[in-house]
Amino acid sequence: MSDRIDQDRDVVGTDAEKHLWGSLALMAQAEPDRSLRSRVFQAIDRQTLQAAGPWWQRFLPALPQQVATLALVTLIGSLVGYMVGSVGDELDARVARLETELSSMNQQLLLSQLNAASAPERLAAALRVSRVAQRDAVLADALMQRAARDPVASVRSAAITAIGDDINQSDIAEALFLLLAETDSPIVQMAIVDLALRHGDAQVIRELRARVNAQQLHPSLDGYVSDAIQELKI
Amino acid sequence: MHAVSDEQLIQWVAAGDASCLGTLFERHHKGLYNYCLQLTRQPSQSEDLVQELFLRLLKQARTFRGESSFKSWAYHILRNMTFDQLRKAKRQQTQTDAEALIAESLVDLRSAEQAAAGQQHVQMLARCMASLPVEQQEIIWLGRFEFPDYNALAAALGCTAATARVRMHRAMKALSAGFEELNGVMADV
Repeated sequence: MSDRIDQDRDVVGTDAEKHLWGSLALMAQAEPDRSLRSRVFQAIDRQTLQAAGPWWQRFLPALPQQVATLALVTLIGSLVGYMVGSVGDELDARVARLETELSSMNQQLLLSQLNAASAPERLAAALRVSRVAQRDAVLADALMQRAARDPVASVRSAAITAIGDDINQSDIAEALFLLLAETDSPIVQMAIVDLALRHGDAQVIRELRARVNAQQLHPSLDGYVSDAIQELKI
Repeated sequence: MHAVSDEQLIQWVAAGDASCLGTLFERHHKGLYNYCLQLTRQPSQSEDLVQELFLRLLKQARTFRGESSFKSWAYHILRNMTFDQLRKAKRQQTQTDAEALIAESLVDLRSAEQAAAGQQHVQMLARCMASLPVEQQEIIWLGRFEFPDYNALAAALGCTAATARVRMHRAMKALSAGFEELNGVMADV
């Protein structure tokens, strides 16, 4: 007796039953709403981060926390000391210098987190970088490294999102479109597409449309991108 | 056939790489959604259930022992979730009263493509399916679209292959009888 249902004579024994079985296959399959994919991926990301520990531990891992605390104490101590001394312009200059040093330390902290062994830590770092208004070339390069090479798709996706307006720089756009063609991860493709649609200028959108026409996207993203480009009317 | 099996992917999820769940989502979400939709008739509820399923898969990945395929395992979990929802909504008790409405709504959901293709008999088939008890709809749907053999089907349903075979026979007989009856009515009209 066959285990295959379509060879079971009690199911498809007669011509009428065969016809019925064949007709069942013609029943159309519905498409879930487009937002389901992003909802599920966001929920998975949230769940992954929650599993990594309490929020303050994610954003302030052990060693960088000590560094940040030291910097903060130094800054406050310096401020108090100079306020007591009331030395005017000299105070401003020193505060500015301390701010610069603090900014530099923050960048070092982010770079360190972006290259951490733990995937949740790298993900948290990518999310933090997206909120940094001014980035130098070193940080931008680290972000692109994560976007292109991180073994975890969620981290790649977050790093791509963090690139923001930098997508309009020709070398970054070129690297991202190369990644779009090479990756087989729909999560990563969707992140690049979303980034291009949200931050890309007309040139970037034209390039994206060319990629769609060249069928370099996951089939499930084709319609999404075409509709979005249509709405942009570029 | 995929380069990396579903079973390998869920093992990687269990080992901590949650991103592999994204690949499993891409492979299976449409089938899972349609299965759920067949039972609930509610698109938004079906989407919520599929979303909840993938969160459960993330939490329960380590409990996957490979005794059945990943696909059977996922459908079995979704089946339990969906029937819990149906029980809460007491859908079974109101099914008879709502039968006509349900049949119409199902046809509404799928009518555009079918009408375009001139497949009136498929619409009739959808009506007959909707009039069957939910367990019979389920086994026909899964057997036709997702699990071509009784062993995998049984794993998804949580029963033996012999039981799945008997249930499938009964469900197909009921569908066949309903279809013939509706055909007769249409012919009289």
